[in-house]
Amino acid sequence: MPLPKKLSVRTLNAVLIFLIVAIFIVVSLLTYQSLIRIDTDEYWEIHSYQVQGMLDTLISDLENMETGQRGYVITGQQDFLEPYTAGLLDVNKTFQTLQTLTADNATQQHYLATMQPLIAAKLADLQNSISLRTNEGFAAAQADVLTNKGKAIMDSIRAVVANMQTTEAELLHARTNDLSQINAATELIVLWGSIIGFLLALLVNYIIYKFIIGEMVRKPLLEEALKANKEMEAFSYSVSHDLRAPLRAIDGFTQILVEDYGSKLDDEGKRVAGVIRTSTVQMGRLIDDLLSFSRLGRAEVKKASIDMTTLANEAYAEAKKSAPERNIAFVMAALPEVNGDRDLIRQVWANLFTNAVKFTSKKEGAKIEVGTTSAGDTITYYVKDNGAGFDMQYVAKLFGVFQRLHSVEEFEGTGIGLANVKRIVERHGGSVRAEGKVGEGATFYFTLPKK
Amino acid sequence: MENTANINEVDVLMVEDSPNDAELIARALSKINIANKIYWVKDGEEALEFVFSTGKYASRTASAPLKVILLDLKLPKVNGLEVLAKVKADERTKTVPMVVVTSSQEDRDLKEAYKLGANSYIVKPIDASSFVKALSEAGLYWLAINKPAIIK
Repeated sequence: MPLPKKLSVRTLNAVLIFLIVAIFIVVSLLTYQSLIRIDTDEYWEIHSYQVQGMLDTLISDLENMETGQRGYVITGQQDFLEPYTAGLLDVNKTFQTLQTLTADNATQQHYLATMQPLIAAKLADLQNSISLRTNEGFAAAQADVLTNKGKAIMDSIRAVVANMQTTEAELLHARTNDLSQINAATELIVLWGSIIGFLLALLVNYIIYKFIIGEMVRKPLLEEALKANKEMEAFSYSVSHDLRAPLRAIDGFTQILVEDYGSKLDDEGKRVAGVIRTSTVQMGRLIDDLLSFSRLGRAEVKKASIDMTTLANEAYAEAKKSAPERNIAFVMAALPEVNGDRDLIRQVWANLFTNAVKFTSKKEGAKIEVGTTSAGDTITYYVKDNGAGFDMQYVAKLFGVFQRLHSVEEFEGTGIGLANVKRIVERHGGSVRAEGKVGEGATFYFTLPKK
Repeated sequence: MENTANINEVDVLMVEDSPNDAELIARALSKINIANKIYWVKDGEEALEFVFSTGKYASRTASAPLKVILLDLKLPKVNGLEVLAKVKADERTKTVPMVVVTSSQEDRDLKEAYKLGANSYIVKPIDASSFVKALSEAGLYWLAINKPAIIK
C-alpha cells in the first residue's frame, strides 16, 4: 500500500476514535442532564401532591369546625366545641402552608387571595352562631343557622378549592408528561449513542487489525516472501541447468550404446536401454513442467483486454493439432471479453483443450463445448467434454501439482496442466472448479473478475 | 573428448564445461564430418585466450576466422555471457557467429544473450535424438549454409 493511502487510513482511524469519544461524552452529558431534570420534575410532582393534600386538609379543617359548631348549637354542651377549637388552630396553619407552597404560582396565589376573606367570613359566621347559642340560646342560634349564610360561604370556599385542585392537577399532568418524554428521549439517546459508538468502535478495531497491524505484520512477511522468491529463483535456475545435464548424458550415452554396440546387445538388452531412455525423457519433462509451474508463480501478470472468443479458438486449433485425424464436435458460444494476461490465459485454454482432446480420444462422437455464465462481478468460462471423466471423490486432487487420476498407459501427461490452470486463474484473482462423472465426461470452470 | 584439431585450422570453437555434453556435441557434429575442425575449451577464460590468441594460445595464428563459436552459458571462471560480451565488443571478432548452446531456458538468459549480440540460441534437448538432430543441423547451417562476413 502506498504511503499516502496508509496515512489517510491512520487519519481516518484517529477521526473515528475522536468521534467515538465525542459520542460517549455527549451521551453522558445528556444522561446527566436528564437525570437532573427528572429529579427536578419529581420534586415538583411531589410538590403538586402536597398542594392537593393541603387543599383537602383545608376543607376537612373547615368541616371539622362546622361539626363542632353544629354539635354545640344543638346541645349547648362545651364538649361538642372541641373539633371547632382544634380546627380553628389548624385552619390558619393550613392556609399559611398553602400560601408558602404556591408562592411561585400566580394563579394559585390569586385563588388564595380570593379565598382568604371567604375563610375569614366563614370563621366569623361560625363564631357568631356559637356566641348566639351561648348568650341568647338555641332559638337565636338556630335562626342564625337557618339564614343559610354559613353554608353559602362554605360552598364558595369549596368552589375556590375545586378550582385550585384543577389547576394543580393540570400542572401535575404536565409534569408527568414532561417526565415521561424526557425518559423516552434519554432512553433513545443512550440506546442510539451506544449503538453508534459500538459500531464505530468495531470499525476502528477492523481498521486497526486490517490496515495498521496488518501492515506491521505484513512488512517483515513481504521481506521474507521476497527472500524466499529469490531463493526459489536461484533454485529453479540451478535445477534447469544442473538437473538436466546428467539426464542428457544418460540419454545421450544410452543412445551411443545402442548405436555403437547394438550388435552386442540382445533384444532384452535393447529393451532395457529403451526403458532408460524413456524414463530419462520423462524425468526431463517433469523438470520442465516443474520449472514452468514455478515460473508461473513468479511471472508478472500484465493485464489488458482479451478477446476470449479468438483466443479460445486459437488455443483449440493448437490443441487439435495433436490429433488431426480425429473428428471432434467443437461447440463454442461467443465469449465475453475479459481483462487479463493474454499469454497466461492462453495457457489456461490450451491446457483445458489439450485435456479435453486427450480424454475424449477413446470416445466415439467426441464433443467439446465451451461456454460462459456471468454472475455479479465475475465471468465464469467452462470447457465441457464427453470424455473419460473422473470420479468426483478425487476432485480435490485434480488441480494439485503432478496429481493424475489416470495412468500414463491410459492417458499420457505429467499432471502439471491443471495445476498451471489453477495458478494462472488464481493469480488473476479468479477460481477454478471441476465436475465430472466416470465415463461420461468432465466440465472445468474458471472464473475471472469482470473488468 | 580429446582435442585433435590443429589450433590454427579450427572452424568450430566449443566452449563447454561438461565433458559429457562436449562429447555429445562433438558426436553430433561428427555426423556431418567436421570433427577434425572442432576445438574444445572448458571455461570462459580459456575461450577468450583462444579467441584473442593470448595466454596459452598466444602462439595461435589463424589463417581464417572461426566459422562459429558454440557457447555454454554456465561456465567456470568467466561465464558465457561475459565471453559473449567481450567477443562481440571487439572489432576483430565481433562478426564471428556465436551460438548459445545451453540448458537454460530462462527468459532473462535469452534476452541478455540476444542483447549482447548472440546469433542464435539453442536449448540442449534432454532427448538424445533431438539433441543430435539440433546440434548437427545447427553445425550444418553455420558451417555449410551460412555465408560469413569477410574480414581483411
